Parts: sequence; C-alpha cells; structure tokens
Amino acid sequence: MMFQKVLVANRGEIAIRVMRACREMGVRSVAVYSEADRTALHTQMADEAHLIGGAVAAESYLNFERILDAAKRSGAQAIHPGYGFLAENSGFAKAVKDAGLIFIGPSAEAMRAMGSKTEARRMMKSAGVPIIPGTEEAVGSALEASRAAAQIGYPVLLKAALGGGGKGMRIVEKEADLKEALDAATREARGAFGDGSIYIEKFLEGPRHIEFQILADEHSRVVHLGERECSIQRRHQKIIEETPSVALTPELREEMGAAAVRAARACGYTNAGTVECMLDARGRFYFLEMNTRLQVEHPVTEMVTGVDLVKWQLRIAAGEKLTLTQNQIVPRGHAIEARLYAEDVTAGFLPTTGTIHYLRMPSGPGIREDSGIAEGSEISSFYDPLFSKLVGWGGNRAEAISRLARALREYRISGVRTTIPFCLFVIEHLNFQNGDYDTRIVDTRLLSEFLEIRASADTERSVAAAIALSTKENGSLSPDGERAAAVGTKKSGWKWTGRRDALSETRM
Amino acid sequence: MEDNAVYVHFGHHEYKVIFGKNGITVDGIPVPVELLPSAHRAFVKARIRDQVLDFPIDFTEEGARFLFSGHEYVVRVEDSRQRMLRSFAATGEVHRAALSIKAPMPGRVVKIEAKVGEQVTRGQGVVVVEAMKMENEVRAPGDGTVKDIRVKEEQTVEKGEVLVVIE
Repeated sequence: MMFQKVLVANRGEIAIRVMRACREMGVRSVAVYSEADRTALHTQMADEAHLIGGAVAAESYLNFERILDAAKRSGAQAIHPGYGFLAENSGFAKAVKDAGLIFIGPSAEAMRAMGSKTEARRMMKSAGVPIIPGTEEAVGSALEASRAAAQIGYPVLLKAALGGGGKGMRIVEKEADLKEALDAATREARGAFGDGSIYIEKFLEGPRHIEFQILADEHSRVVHLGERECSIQRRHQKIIEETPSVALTPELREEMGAAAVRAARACGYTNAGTVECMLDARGRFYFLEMNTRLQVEHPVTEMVTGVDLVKWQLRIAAGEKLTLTQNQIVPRGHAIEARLYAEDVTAGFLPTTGTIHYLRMPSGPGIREDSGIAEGSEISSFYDPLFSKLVGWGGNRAEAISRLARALREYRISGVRTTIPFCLFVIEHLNFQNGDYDTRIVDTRLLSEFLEIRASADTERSVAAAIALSTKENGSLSPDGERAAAVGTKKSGWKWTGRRDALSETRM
Repeated sequence: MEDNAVYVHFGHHEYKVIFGKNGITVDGIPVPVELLPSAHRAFVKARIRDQVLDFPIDFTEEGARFLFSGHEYVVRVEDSRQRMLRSFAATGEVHRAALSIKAPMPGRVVKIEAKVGEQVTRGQGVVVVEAMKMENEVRAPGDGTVKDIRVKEEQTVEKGEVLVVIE
C-alpha cells in the first residue's frame, strides 16, 4: 500500500523534487532542516518541517538519530534520501529498516556491495560486464601503488574506494608524480569519507561518460530507461548532461542497456539506480560504478521517456510491481540539462556564497527548471553550491540546445556568481554542437576559450549607457554597499532622461 | 574635467559616456537610452532604440557585477571627479600596489604552492584551500612577486582572510 507520509532527508532542489512527486501522489511530505536552513525553500514546499540540528551537515543532514527521531515524531512511514548526504550510506538504510521504517532506495546489502568499488568490480566481472583494467584491492603503500601503476600502464587514475563526485580522484601521467598524487588523494578521501583507501585503474584515452538509468522492483523485474551522456565535466563534476548520447548507435545502446540490466540483477538491485560506464574512442565500454540512488541528472531521462522516476521509487519501495515493460519505454526527442552552481568560473570554479536578492527564472516551451532557491535565499558554504538544474527539451538535439540557450539568456539572478555564462558558452560551442568532445574538453579547451570571450562593442556600449544613466539618475556613482542599497529605492531617482530622444525618434 | 561625463570601465576598455544637450553618447557614438521604471532594488531597466536591457546588479569590491543575456559583466562606474582622484592616487606606487590574495571561502589550507620571492603569473596556483571536502586552488589574480605568505599549511582560514601578498 502507498505511504501516507514520507520524510525527505535532504535539502535544496532534490528535496523539493521529491516533495513534488509526493504531493502529486497524495502523499504527505515531511521536510527536515538545519539551523542554516530555517527559511530554506524546501521547508516551505513540504506539508510539515522539522528542525534537526546545526548547520554543519554532521549535526543535521548526516545525523541518523536526528532524522529518525523526526520521522518518528511526524509519523512518516518511509524516508527518501535524495542524493548526496545519506543517499548511499548503507548504514543509514539499515538503521531506517531497523527503526521499522522503509528506506526509499535499494537494500543496504546492494548498497554496500556497490558502494565499495573493489567489490562492485568483482561482481560486475562475474556478471560478464566489462570493467576497466585496474587493482582489485585498495593499494596499501606507495611502493605497491607504483608497482600496480607500472603493470596497468600510465596514465593511471587514482580513486577513493568509497568515493564519488570527483573527491579523492587524481590522474597521474608519470611515475614521478605518483607519490604526491597518492598523498593528496588519500588526504581528500579520508576527509570526505573517513576512509583513505585508494585504488588504481587505467586512465582511458578520449573517454566519454555514458550511464544507464535502471528501475528494478522487488519482484525481479528490471528495465533500463536508456542512457545519459555526461561527458562535459570539470574535475569529474558533471556540468552538462543529455540524452540520447550522440556517441551511441542503436546496437551499442541495446548492448549497453542489456549489460546495465545484468549489472542490476547481479547485485539483487531494487529501486532506481544508475550504471555508469566509460566509452572509449573505439566504442568499447567499461563499467565504472553503480550509483545506488536517484541522480542529479535524472530529469533528462524523465523528459524523453515521460516516466516519473521519483514516483516509481515510491511505488517500488511500497512493494508495488513495476508495470512498466522494456517495450513501453520509447524515448522521444532530446533533453539537455545544465547544472547551475553558485561558483566563480574565472577563479577555477570556486564556490561563492551570498543572498539571492533578485531572481527571475526562465520558462516557456520545452523548459523545466528544478530549483532549490527563491529571492531571499541564502547560499552558504555549508552545503553543495548546486542551486538549480535547467533542462531544455526539443524534438531533436538542435532544438533542445536552442531552447536551453534561450532559457539561459532569460535568466536574471543577482547575489552570487553562477555557472550560467559558462553553461551557455559550452552548449553553443561548435565542439558541443557537433558532438565532438570527451570528458576532458572543459580543461583542455572550453575553460580557456571561455575566459577570453567578451560581448560585442555594440552590446558593451548599450550596457555602458544604461548603467551610466541609472547610476547618474540615482545620484550614486560609488559602488559601496550603503549607497548601493539606495539604487532603485530612492523615490526621486529614476528620471526620464532620454525619453525626449526616444519620442522624437518615434515621431520621425 | 567634464561634469557631464561618466566613465564605465570594462576591464579591457573604458567607455566614456557623455550626457549632452542632444542626448547621450558613448565614445562619441549616440546611444539613445531611456530609463524604464523598476520596482526592484539595484536593477537596471532601460530601452535603447528597439532593445530593452534589464538586469539586477551586485555591488562588489571590483565594481558593479551583473549577468545579462547569459554573459557576466564586471564594470566600474565613475564620474570625472572620482576618476581624477583615482588617477592622482594611481600615479606611482598605487598602480603597482601590493595585491592581496584572499581566501574566497572559509576552509583549511592544505598546501602552499608558492615561495616568498617567487615570480608568479596571472592564473598560477598559489595556495590550495580545502572547503566542502574539495581541494580548491587559489590562483594569482595578476603577475607579480610573492612578498608575503600569511598562512601555514593545515591552518583554518576565514572567508576574505589574506593568504598571500604579491607585488
């Protein structure tokens, strides 16, 4: 039977995404929030909201006890973890089950198996899913690492055994750089996951990141919902994602989809999951990892398949049968997602913080925005800087690109620096439009070109005239905080200089 | 000194905006700009011929920053008096003044990549700060010589704290 009440153990856009599905299904939703999120948008989107602790994630969004306590207090029957935080923590999944509640996701056992990259690789190998050459175990010492790397052949990739999202990852081109990179990766992995285990694998040339969405129920039914290509990345953080991928032929898609279904079956997977693969320049694919959760980029799959993944997560967790068959999943058109981060691209994608004091989001044909902010929202350094995901859908790839570009141009936001200009630059770049790129294009090409661009002199003159007149008419030319606040609020301000010119032009 | 002039500096170019009897010119080219009313604070809304420009503004240390039509701009707006004062101040040392590299966010210094006395170029990494469990490289905003390193590895830093001074 469907749940009456679901607690969403997350914040930001993904919490809101899950709450929307709940509301559409007639399920009441419970938000949890930290001290820093008292007025956050997700608390307003839920039917009820419970304070669970301090701003630091360990005291709130990562705190089992506080979250389970909020679930008990609210009478929620199930917990949706979103992504990040506790979404891939098998200990949490088990704690939820032990508390007599349902975890909306796979079993703790499947999560544990897939969460350890070494165990996942062994399992995939036996299920006949191709894997990237590399160490089966975490490397114990610098000496062991150097032997393994020599055997695999440079360049190699160092990865945290419990890692994800690019943390604890390092590319090593040559023996001389190995030790330093190993130290940095171990340090980062220990800080992020409490475990500094690192393993080494072959670093692929010209690779593309292709992943398959799967859905599996508790009655042994498994389907895949096609691929997503996420090759536009920066330090293994995805920036642009799309489906379908321009790199797949129908035959390869079928082969990879079948492998993804096999991978899910191999670990007894249930609920929504993603099988991530690397595709090399010669069209060979390798299993990378399985993400045992809903992914950030799930909306592109929803846009082309018309399937609401979050609703299926709830239904599957409630024990319902997956009535969706492989034949019914027919993708239509093309969808592209731009991840909008509060980051300063010019400073190497450094997260920025601030208060959103103006916001007008784009809309219109083929546009979906999954956002976690509103005017007045605070973007703090406590949490991930992703504040929104903008998705463009079109009948074909060109239309999806032009719609997304149009929407990025419509965006009006102030208070933080964002990746909006960079996303626009990327999707309008010839290499992106031609599908000619791999996972390294941001670092090798796009970023440096982006830093060189500027608007046309004509546009700059218009902007200069508009801003000069605005500041002059407000009697405030100094951009210091106090006087700046007066812009637009001063009653005597906005005069109509220039109107005479405009009128006389009209008359002529 | 022209009382009716405003200078809008775009980094690579400074536009001179003159409010004359016959309308507004930018670098001598007429730009018929008309302000439109806006209900919002710190918002520019104007019409130029058949085009409407609208964008909210952030006032920062570097100047007015805004996003318009998918592009980010950072401009400094000055009148003649402010510009003159700055040009006096800029003669000599201020122009080659020490440049502080500050922590862009609270975090922990994990690595210092520059040495005192070392020549650095714009964009070169100087300090690695870990924040939100990611290592972020803080880069030199311009060319110069490292004069002072104010932090140590493993030290926790606040947002805006000076890490390195270059000259």
